[in-house]
Amino acid sequence: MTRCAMRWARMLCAVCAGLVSGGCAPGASAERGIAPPGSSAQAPGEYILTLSAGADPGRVREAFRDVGVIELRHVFARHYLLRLKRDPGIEFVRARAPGTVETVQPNYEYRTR
Amino acid sequence: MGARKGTRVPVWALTVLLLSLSPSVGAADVAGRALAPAGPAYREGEVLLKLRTGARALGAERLAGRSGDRVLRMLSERGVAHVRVAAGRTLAQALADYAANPDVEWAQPNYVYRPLGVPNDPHYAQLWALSNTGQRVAGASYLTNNPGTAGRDMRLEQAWDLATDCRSIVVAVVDTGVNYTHRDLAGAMWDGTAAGYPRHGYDFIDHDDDPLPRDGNGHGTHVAATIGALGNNGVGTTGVCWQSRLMAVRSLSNAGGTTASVVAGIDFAVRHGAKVVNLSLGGATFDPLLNAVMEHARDAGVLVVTAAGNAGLDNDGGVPTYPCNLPLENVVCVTALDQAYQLASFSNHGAVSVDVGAPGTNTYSAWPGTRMADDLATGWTTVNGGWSAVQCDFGIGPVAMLVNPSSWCTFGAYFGPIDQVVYKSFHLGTDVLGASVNYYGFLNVNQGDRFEVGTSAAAGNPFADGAGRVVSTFSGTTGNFAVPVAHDLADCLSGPCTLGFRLAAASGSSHSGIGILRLSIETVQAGSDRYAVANGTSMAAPHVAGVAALVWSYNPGYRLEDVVRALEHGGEPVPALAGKTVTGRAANAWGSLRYIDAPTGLAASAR
Repeated sequence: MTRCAMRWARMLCAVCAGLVSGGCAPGASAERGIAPPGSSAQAPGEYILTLSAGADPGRVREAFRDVGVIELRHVFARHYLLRLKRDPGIEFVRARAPGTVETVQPNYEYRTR
Repeated sequence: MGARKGTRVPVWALTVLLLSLSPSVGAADVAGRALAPAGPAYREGEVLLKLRTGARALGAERLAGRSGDRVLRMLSERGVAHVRVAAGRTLAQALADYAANPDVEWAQPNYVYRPLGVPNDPHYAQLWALSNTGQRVAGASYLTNNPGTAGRDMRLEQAWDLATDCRSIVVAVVDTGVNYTHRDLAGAMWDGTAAGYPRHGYDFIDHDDDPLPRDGNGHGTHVAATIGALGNNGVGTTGVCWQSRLMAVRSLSNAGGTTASVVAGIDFAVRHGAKVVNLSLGGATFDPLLNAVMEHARDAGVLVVTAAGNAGLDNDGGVPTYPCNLPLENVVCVTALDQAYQLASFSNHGAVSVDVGAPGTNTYSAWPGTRMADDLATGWTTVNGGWSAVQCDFGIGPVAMLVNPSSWCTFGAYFGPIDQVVYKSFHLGTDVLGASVNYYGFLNVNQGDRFEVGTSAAAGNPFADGAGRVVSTFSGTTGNFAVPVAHDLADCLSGPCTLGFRLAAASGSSHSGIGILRLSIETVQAGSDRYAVANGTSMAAPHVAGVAALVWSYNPGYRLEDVVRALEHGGEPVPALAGKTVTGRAANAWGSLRYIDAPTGLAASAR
């Protein structure tokens, strides 16, 4: 990229940073924390597991012991948040989950709008 | 001695009694004043008195002059005088003196009368969404149509003649937390004590029962006060509702939230009796669990008001926003209008997914504490060089920045090995409950090199051994993007709070480095009296949530679907919303209160 192009790119991004007013707002910033734009819209290593009625959550913790379970937390109804020390990917989680796990989905990210 | 029924008690006697018992009447006193119109009930230092017929020859001037008082004017030929009480004399003293004077038939305060529907909050004139007089909003950051068009508002002044009190409906603000100590909110919060939540809600980020935004994020406080800042209390602003029960649910931090925190927050609100949930938030992907909890809310008869998003996109055009795009009957999605009722430039819209519009630009509302903007020029100390405070020209005029290398603005690069620090100490003030530092950063360092952010509760280099704490470490690149960044300053809320940046690079490593701009520190203060202007569909949604609470409170027999119909059909047709929303209408409190449709769920049988 030429210096001229870099200058224009930086200027546009400074505009995005709210130097020129527009839709930018206190607290309305789209991204927080240090994350490059376009980064994942789901929390890495975190999954929502739906357990069958009456299932023991302890079996989930046991199934992922070797991956490193940071937390298994109840969220809502039969849905639990599984936080792992490293992210093995959703297909691994689905394959490894015990039979009492009905569904697995990412823990999606939400921002102020 | 009690007055017997039918006994006439002189007005002056009651007044003197009230004055002597309540010397602070008229003072700004937030809590417990919601039921009665607040503000001064009478003009301090002014008396109206009537001379007895036989005393008129004496003249009011001479009578008042004996006490140093002065007649401002005679109000009638029958001896009624408007008197200014002498300095140093209290109104109570003057009334007692005149009452005891045999030449005076009666004396009374000069009571204050106000038009119905207009609250006495001192910043009310800033609230164009509630009453658009064509005013210019001070401190505006959305420059288009400021001032806007008089009359383009949600007709609250007419609505308030019918209803101001929303306390029969609990409104949950699922957001970044609420500074429930703010003086315009402290008397408007949900009391969860009986349910075990004495601090008005729950925090699903830190997993405790205190939803205060200790990371300094003001979004939720701003949203909450738009719905229900105490109205007509002589303080700050008013919400759509003058009296409210606001439940604070913290599901987002400065870094946002997740399915887990948002869904748990909505479930908490539903389980604890909220009838309206405001979600000024969104995500980019259909989320089965979010959909499930919203269906759960629907089945419980709970309305969810949500924001369309701020990317200026068509939500029906391939870039959806959730929960806005969920096709559920209990979800009302809101786009943002400006002060002339044009679609705000940043606002998402959607003829299928977005239901109504509402004011969302230059919205003035409560803020949890102070915002200290740093000049990025003075007070910064460097260690081992590298860092510079500069004015960088992006082609839009000079911009204050902190950069490394010093040649960053002219596209220079750093060369390792380096370990360079810059730091500055701040004093955050008193009664600080939480704080964060916010800035935008162009961050470009090689993998293996480190950009670190450190804080310390002492003066001096926060990266020195044992001095402070590294709150963030970054390797990689944001390219030509300046990303917004926030860090919690919870470790140093009293005394000096030192913030430092460090760039460490290995030998032979080189990249374009760091550019930091627009650095500010946000605090959360106990009893905050701060307010701020903000823009976004986040600001539009709570206007609608407030109207929903007002309508539901006014019509306690309404079901969820009745409230939704009143919001949508009672709205005002707005040309800018035609083809951009389902209804083509803007939320209108007066229209929604007047909207009458056959209530649902009633059964009749012929006998």
